[in-house]
Amino acid sequence: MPHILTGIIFFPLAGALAAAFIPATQTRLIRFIVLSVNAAVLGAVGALVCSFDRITPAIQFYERHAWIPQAGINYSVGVDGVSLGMVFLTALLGFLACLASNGIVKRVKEYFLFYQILMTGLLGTFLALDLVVFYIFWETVLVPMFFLIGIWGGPRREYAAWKFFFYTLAGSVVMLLAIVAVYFCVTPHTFDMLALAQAVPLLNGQIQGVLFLMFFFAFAIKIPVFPFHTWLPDAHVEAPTPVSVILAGVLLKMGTYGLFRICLPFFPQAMFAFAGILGLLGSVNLIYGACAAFAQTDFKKMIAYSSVSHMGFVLLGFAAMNSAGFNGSILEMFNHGIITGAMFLLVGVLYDRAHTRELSAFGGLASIMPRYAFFCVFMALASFGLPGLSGFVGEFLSLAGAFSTLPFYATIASIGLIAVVALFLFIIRKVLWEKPKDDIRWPDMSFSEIAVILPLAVITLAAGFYPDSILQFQQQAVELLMKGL
Amino acid sequence: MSASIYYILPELTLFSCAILLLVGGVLGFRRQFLGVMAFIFIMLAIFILPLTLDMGNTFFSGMLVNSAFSCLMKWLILVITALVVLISIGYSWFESDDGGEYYFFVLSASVSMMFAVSAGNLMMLYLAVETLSIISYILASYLKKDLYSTEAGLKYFLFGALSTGLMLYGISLVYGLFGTLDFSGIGAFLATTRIHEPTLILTAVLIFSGLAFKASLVPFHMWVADVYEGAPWPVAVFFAVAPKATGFALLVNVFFASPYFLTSSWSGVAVLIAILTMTVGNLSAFHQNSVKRLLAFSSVAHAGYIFAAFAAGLTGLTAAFYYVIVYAFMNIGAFTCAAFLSSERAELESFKGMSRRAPVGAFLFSVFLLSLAGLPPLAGFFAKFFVLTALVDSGHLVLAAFLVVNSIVAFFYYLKIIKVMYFDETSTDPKIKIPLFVFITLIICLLTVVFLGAWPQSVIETLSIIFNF
Repeated sequence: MPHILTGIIFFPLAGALAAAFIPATQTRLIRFIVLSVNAAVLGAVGALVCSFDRITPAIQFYERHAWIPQAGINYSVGVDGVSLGMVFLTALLGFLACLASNGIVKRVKEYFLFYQILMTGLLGTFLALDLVVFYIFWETVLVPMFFLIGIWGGPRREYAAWKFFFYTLAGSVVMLLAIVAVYFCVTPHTFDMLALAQAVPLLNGQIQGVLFLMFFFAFAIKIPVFPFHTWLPDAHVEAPTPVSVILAGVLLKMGTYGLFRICLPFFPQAMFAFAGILGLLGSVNLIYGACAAFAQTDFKKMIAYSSVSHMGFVLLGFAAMNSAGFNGSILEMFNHGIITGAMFLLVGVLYDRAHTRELSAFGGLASIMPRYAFFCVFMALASFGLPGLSGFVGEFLSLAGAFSTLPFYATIASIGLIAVVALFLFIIRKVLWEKPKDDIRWPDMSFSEIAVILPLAVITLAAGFYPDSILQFQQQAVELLMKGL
Repeated sequence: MSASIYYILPELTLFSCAILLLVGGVLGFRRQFLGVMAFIFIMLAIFILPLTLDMGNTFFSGMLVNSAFSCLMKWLILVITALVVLISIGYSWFESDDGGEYYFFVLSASVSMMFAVSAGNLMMLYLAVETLSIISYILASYLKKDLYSTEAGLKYFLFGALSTGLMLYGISLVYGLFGTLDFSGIGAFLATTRIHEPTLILTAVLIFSGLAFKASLVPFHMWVADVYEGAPWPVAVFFAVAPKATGFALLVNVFFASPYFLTSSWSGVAVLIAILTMTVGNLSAFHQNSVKRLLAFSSVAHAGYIFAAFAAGLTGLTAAFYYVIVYAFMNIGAFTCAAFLSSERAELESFKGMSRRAPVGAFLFSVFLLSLAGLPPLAGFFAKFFVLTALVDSGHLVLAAFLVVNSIVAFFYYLKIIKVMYFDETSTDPKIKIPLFVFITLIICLLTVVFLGAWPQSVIETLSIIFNF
């Protein structure tokens, strides 16, 4: 499979081009084409996962072609244990969110064009191994997302779209400066991430520190790290359900992926210097996210803030700087994508029926919508980390890693964990139990709605009972990261 | 002498065509026909142009100098003119009786720019620039019954007369100092003799003002918005790219090719002017309600980005002229879209619901705007990226930071137009049809912007050979 990665990256775009030439009135044909393209991408990624060699830490399916030799830019892509999970997550959620896009009836053609460009940007970001190519894909994500939120979003969609756009743009231009600076700091000048991972750690500590902060600024906005998180609740809440799924499930991971792909291997000295601060930010995220979620009355906003909280685990595991922490952090990235994606889908199910997301409008749904109640409880339990479901493993490993190096922050974080648990129990009680409202006559989840969530539930259960099914893919990559420290 | 005549064959082709068009206009041929004829002759000139590349170095006793760079710039000017002519064919707002004159002026302006970029003598350069200016004043006020257009012509004339006057004064000082106006003569003189430094700087500043006026650098940018706003759209398109490209080419020829006036203070002044130009352009564009004025100020900002690369010295020139080429195509695209989607004044509100009324037009406009904003993987991104790389490489970190911050600001107002086109909806407005010739222009621009983004190597390679002085 020589060009499989290039195929995976650009196939969604090809689908968009094909759909662009179909008249906008043929919505069913457009849906069908886009859905089959995303299914094909998922299939290709599935094949990639099956043929992935788990024993070697090396980059696999590596492709490299000279692109702009004068400027030292190569088109190079490859996959390793860190990116494999992200690529699978993107393809899976991309396909499922596409299925869940049936509710989109306004300007369907444009919607799917932007959606497909978004997919190419996301897949490219996780697979790129040249800083400029990475940056190009990173930026490609911005504009389609701006449109998806701004056209198909809720009442405050324009505000949310602008805010999302300018927060991330501010981060990414700083990253661009950092990329150019890194290029000139090493000799020979190169944008190749693999070569840079060898050369940049040899630079002196001060330069590393400055460059690290510039990259971290961009990633922190994307993750988002408190206090750069304020775009997230607006964007997540205003975005239509499938786009929220992609936002929470995949987009946030671009930031944490960047930490593992760039910050850690490039700037190990700076990492050791800043580990404490990262741990602090992680635990602040965790507690702040959970507390802020409590203050909300909007179901979707609560889930959005709980994302902030979960990204705190990822950051904490990352800051731990040991193999347990890294493993937990990478696993939590994957799990959070699956679980929160499902949570947003569940919020969407309710919104389609009630046309509101105010918690006070719901109550006693367990007796009216039993199937919904099952999935909601299941995912909420997974989300706060009930042992046996996937959320637990990632959170546990992150905390375990953090206890050995950052015991203070780990302790705070574990106390904060109580708030997360309380939050989800509170949501379940409010929505599913309590006394049913009189006027609620909603149908239970339909077959197609279940079909979208079921794969996510199965993965959650499987990864919870047998975490090694996912951990084995990232094991070697984590060991390589440890070696670099 | 006869060889010299062959060298100016492209210019002669163009100018004879201009005369024919003038006659054709009097004889009452239709405007469309004259436009197509002009286009055919420009294409002919484009094909003749490469033949002149190997003809020798100096012509007309040093008045014209042949180089790969001047050949490239002439090619760019011809391509821009061809696209502007295509747009003009589709443009219906001119008074019906003067098609011949219009194309005569456009082609003559093109010829004068071609002479300007290949000038090897300051007098030749001055004459070419002055011819261009006078034609520009007429073109700007071409909508005779439109007050804005008349104002544009007068304003352009006043500012233009001042700045070319300054340049002429500078040139007279050069003659006083060196006793010659030949570039090679001045270079030889400077290499052997020490010149009183303040006088030299004064001379450089005076000549620089004239060229900066053409390139619309701050503080010589005041005319830009009013002139573009008043000028008819095709003329505004022409002004926004061709004289600007010429201005930058002349800056290279006079200040870089064999560093005549390149004194030690160049870098500092260039940094200051670049920062001012991009910042003033962007901040002024920010609150414009007319898309025409907005694009005018954005073109000032782009002049700033291009000039930033000049601050990086010789190494920046490749980046600068990659930018100039990319800028020409994306700006023609953006101006043309705005012209044919909206009216002469192009208020922002008139773009509401454009994604419905003209889906293809709105899409093309968005692509050009995003390219202007510098969104990867469009060509506009690489233009900024190469400038940024050149700046960091030469240690101009402050300027690099300004470039980056400015490009964020610019994103805001470009995106504002896209927002109006895609987010705001209207129910009643009719569909807008883009004329065929204009559509062809837009497709050419789109393909170039995408191609130069996907494969910047193609141009960069040529440029780095050219600037390997």
